[in-house]
Amino acid sequence: METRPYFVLGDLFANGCAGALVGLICGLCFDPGWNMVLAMFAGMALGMALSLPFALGFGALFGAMEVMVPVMTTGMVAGMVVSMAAAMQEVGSANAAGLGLASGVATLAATYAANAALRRRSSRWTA
Amino acid sequence: MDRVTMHKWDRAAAHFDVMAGYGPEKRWEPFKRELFAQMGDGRILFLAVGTGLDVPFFPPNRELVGIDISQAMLDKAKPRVDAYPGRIELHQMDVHDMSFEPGSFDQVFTSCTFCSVPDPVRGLEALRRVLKPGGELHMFEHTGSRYYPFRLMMNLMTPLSRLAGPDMNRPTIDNVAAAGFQLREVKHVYLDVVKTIHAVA
Repeated sequence: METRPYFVLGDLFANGCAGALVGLICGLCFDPGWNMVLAMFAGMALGMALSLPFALGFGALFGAMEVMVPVMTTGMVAGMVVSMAAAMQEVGSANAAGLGLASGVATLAATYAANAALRRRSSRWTA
Repeated sequence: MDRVTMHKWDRAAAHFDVMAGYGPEKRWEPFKRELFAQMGDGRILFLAVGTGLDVPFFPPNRELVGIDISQAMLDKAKPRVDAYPGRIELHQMDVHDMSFEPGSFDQVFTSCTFCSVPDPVRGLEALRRVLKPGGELHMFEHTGSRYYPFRLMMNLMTPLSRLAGPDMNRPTIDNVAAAGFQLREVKHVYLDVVKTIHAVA
């Protein structure tokens, strides 16, 4: 697991920023007039597209795949969560951004846990 | 020589260090140093030198031959290569059409290379040809993932990433086996996406 403070804080910042922005924009784009399932898929696609510049920009500072994979996943998750919430009831901008930020932090935590588990499974071909 | 690939990396050379030179290299430095520490005393081929970002991580006093398809990349690499306390001979060469005699090398090292080689199995077969029987292949590569949602995301990203550089979803371990290498060890560096691979010819 990554323990170097520069990278841990960088990961948090990158995923938090991407999640908050995706949440904010999805909160503005979707409302209770949307079908929830349609909003979910549209939000996922929009979230991924919006998070791409974050993945590239923060990747240069904090690492390539280690930034791109969680940030793009954050975009997908934050887009899905906020667009579904907005399709169910009115979500204010601050709430949408907060929900997106929380999605980013949760996605990063899940990615760190997945990384720890997968790195333990290494050496499958060790002869 | 694959001119389409050559021109793509010639264009990328100007801004390559901006994207890859700081964050990715700092993050991967401990893992790359561990991989390159396995460079032995024999003749070593380093595939896709790029701008030479990996050269400072090589152990000193080794004898290497470095190739890259892009002369612009090699020009950028020259100061790092000149500063290396050992011997590195550079050649502009396409991995698919290497001019080395069969069995020329004891070890081959690659670093984030087979995400970009247009025909990876043929490229790996070419590496097996220039390795001595029993010679070692050591790779530091990013590949696709087996796991949702990472796999979905990387499959969606690849058509975009391919325009400027690498594929995100290559099955490199399968490709190594398909090229006739015997896999010895795979270590995950990040998820099942970034990994080191050790195989023998």
